[in-house]
Formats: sequence, structure tokens, C-alpha cells
Amino acid sequence: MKTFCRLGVGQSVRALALLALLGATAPADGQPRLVRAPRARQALQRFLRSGQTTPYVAEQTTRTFDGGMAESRQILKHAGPRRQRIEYVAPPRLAGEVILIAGPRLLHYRPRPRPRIIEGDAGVADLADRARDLLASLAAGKVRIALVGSEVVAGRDTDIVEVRPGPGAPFKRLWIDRETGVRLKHETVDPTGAVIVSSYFTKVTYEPVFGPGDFLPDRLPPAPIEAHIPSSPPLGSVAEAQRLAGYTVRVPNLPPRFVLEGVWATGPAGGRGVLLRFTDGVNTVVLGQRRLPRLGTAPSPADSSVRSRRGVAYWVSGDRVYTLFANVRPEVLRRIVASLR
Amino acid sequence: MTCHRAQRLISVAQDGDLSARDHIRLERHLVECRSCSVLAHDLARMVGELRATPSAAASEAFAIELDRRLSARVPSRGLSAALLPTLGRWYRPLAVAAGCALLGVLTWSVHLRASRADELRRREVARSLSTTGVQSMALAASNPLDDITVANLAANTGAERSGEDLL
Repeated sequence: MKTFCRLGVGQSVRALALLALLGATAPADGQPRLVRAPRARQALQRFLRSGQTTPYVAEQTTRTFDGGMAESRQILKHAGPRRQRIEYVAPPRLAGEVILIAGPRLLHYRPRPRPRIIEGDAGVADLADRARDLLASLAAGKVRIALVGSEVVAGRDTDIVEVRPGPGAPFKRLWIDRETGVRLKHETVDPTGAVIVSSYFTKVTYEPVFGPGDFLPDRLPPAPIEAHIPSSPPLGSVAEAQRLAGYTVRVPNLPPRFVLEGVWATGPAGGRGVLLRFTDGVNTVVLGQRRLPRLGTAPSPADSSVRSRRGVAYWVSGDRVYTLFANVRPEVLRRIVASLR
Repeated sequence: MTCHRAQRLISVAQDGDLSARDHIRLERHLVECRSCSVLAHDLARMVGELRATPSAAASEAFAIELDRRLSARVPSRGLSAALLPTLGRWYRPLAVAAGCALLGVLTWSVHLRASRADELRRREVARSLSTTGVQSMALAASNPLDDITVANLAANTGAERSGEDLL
């Protein structure tokens, strides 16, 4: 009950609905799919129920392996959903950066090359909704989970749960604290078995002492704020985004398992961008597109080649600039780009 | 607390005259209200910058010398009065030079326009990367299967590389 006391009324209702879903999952073949992996289900329950609301302070290392290894180290301060602070300590080019989630606001303080705060909208998606989507995909058999082992991470016993969207797709491995449900390690793995990204705690404290200003936006170092906040709530359709943006929104050709899950318009009228979020139940693809400004008699730019590294790709095609955030295989990326040319 | 009252208290807080009770109430308001929080940020930054600016006082000797020079300044002769008597002899070379200069300016103007177009487009690419990057982080923060720090590494890579010659 303590868990629900931390949440608002709306969130509590959603969380209760989530628990109901966790308990009742009967797919079409009549055999409850999750019962086949009861320990995996229990671990996932712990992760979705208490893992999100347990306060902690942790030291974390994040690694990406696409285009050479990149590593960063952070201190995570987690006081519950929508109360989170990430302080970067390494490498030197990221040290001093702070990501703060305070209620509906996401603020990213970047001291270099000039101090600034980039603001996004942490309210674009709801954790309970995403968890419900995951469970619905599990119930429908689109996503499968399995307990694949156990390991000690940061001095804590964990269950290792694999979450797979289907054959031939990248999948996730989660190391879930047996006692608290907190995710202590996370990997995205290529279908060939190669790890694409990994993050893991090296130290965790479950009785944290937070500073008085840790979760207050105005306690970030003073710097100008650049807001990149969606100018609309999530839109109902691509057509609605087109109406707001004033141009035809291009939709990429993705593998069939991916479905469009969210559409947002960003920026002021006349210069609006559009964000599309797709998911296969486990992996996420976020595509941004924005029309380039027309500059009188200046020649139109030729289509650029695709710049791609560490889960981000961007290119210019026609009168658009496209930005893609996703850990996808090169052939999938090529297909996405070709469908937008 | 209303935004009107919060904005008054933000100013008082900068002077360090805010009571503990008002301080707590103001902080609660700033967590919820984006516009007041932005105002608080901007004010704190401005005050910080002003405090950091060193003050300089002009010496008395400097002021006297400045006054003397301003008083001694003689109005210059008109341009036409100075140049017209010699213009006849230099007419042709001056005309050629003026033509060359005009051609140069036109070429430079075309080049400048193309550079400006490229620069604006690069800025659009950087802006698109920033927007998609920060929202990818926001989405990752709300997805139990995602990790916000992975999204940030991607966003940083994109931001670093956006300076490359894309167009």
C-alpha cells in the first residue's frame, strides 16, 4: 500500500489496473502463456510494481557498442516515478551534465560547449501505459519472457529475464533485484547474440538521503532554457499531425511487427516538426521530421548520405531533415531511409 | 500560490529576503509551473552575470582629456569639396576600380547567400536532433524496457556530429 501512497489517484488506478492485467493473461490458445514461465512473471511483477517506486541512489555505467564502444558513468537518484536525477561523472565530455525529471518536466543541463538547459516533456508517455502495453503484448503472445539465469550485480541477487519481441529482432535482458524489483542491469542484444547497449549498477543504496534541491528544476545551475516541448498532446493520427505541421508527414516502412504508438507535433507554427514513435513491444523507433526552410533563390540541397552511429541516424532528403533514434540493424535502417527518399 | 505572487517572491528571493515558509511555498509552485520556473532561472542567471561583471571607474585625468579632445575637434571638410578638383585626371581608373568592386560584391553576395543557406540548414539539422533527442530521453524515461542514459549517449553523438558537412 505504501507504493500506492506515493502515487497520485490517477496513477494508483492505472497501477491497480496494471496489477489486474498481470494476474489475468489468457491468450487465444487457451493456455496461460505466462504460467509457462512463473518465475519470469514474478520477477517482471516485482520490476513493474515495486521496482519503479523504490527509492534508491546508484552508480551506473552505460555502454554502447555500435561504431566503437562508448562509455559513460552516472549517479542515479531515484525517488519514484517522475522524480529522478541523473548526474554524469564520466567521460570528461559528459561530466557535469544533469538530467532531471521533475513531474511532467525533463530538463537536461549541458555545461558544454555553452551552458544551457534543454527541456523536453516527460509527460509525453505514461509509465503505467507502457507497462500495460508490455503486458498486453505478453498476453497476445507478441512478446515472450523467460528466466534465463541469476547473477549478483552490485552485491545484490538478481533474476535475469529475457524479453523477446519475436524471432530475428533485437531483445532485452533485465537483471531484476530479487528483493526490491529494481532493475540493476539492462542489455539490448542483437539477434546474433551481440550486445548492442548495456547499463549496469556498480553500487546501489536503498536507504538514500536526497538533498533538498535534488529534484527541483530551479536548483539546476543557472543557464538559458531551450524548450523542445511538444506543442500538442499526443495526436490521434498522422493526418492530425499533417494538419498541424502544414505538410505531408512521411511514414517509414518498418518491419511488420512495428506499430505506430504515438504522434506529436513540436515547435511553433510555420516551423513544426513531427515525431512518430513505433514499437514492436520491446524495441522502440522514434522518427523526427522537419521541413527545411526555403531560402529564396538558394538552390535546394541534394539528398545527403545517412550519418548513423550509436543508435542515432540523420539525413536530408528532398525538403526534409530526418532524425531517427533506434538501435536497428543496418538493413532495417537502409529500408527506413529508402522508404522516405 | 498564484503566478503573480510567485513572480513577486522570485524577485524577493533574489535579494535573500524570503521567509522560510514563503521559500517552501515558492519551491512547490516552481516544480509545477514551467513559466515561473523559467523566469526564476533567467533572473538567477542575469543576477549572477551582473554580480560577476567587474566594475570600472574612469579616472579624473581621463575625463579631463576626453573633454579636451571633444572641444578641440574641428568639423571636417565636405567630401565633394575635397575630391572634385582632382576627379578629372582619375576618372577612368576610378571607374574601372568601381566596376571591379561591384563585381566582387556581387560574387561575394552569391557566395554569402549559399553559405547562409547551408548554415541555416545545419542549424535545422541540429535543432531536429535536439528535439528528437530530448523527446527520446523522455520516452525512454517512461518505458520500463528502455534506459534514458542510452538515449542520452545517442543524443550526444548526434549533437557532436551535426557539425559535420551534411549538405
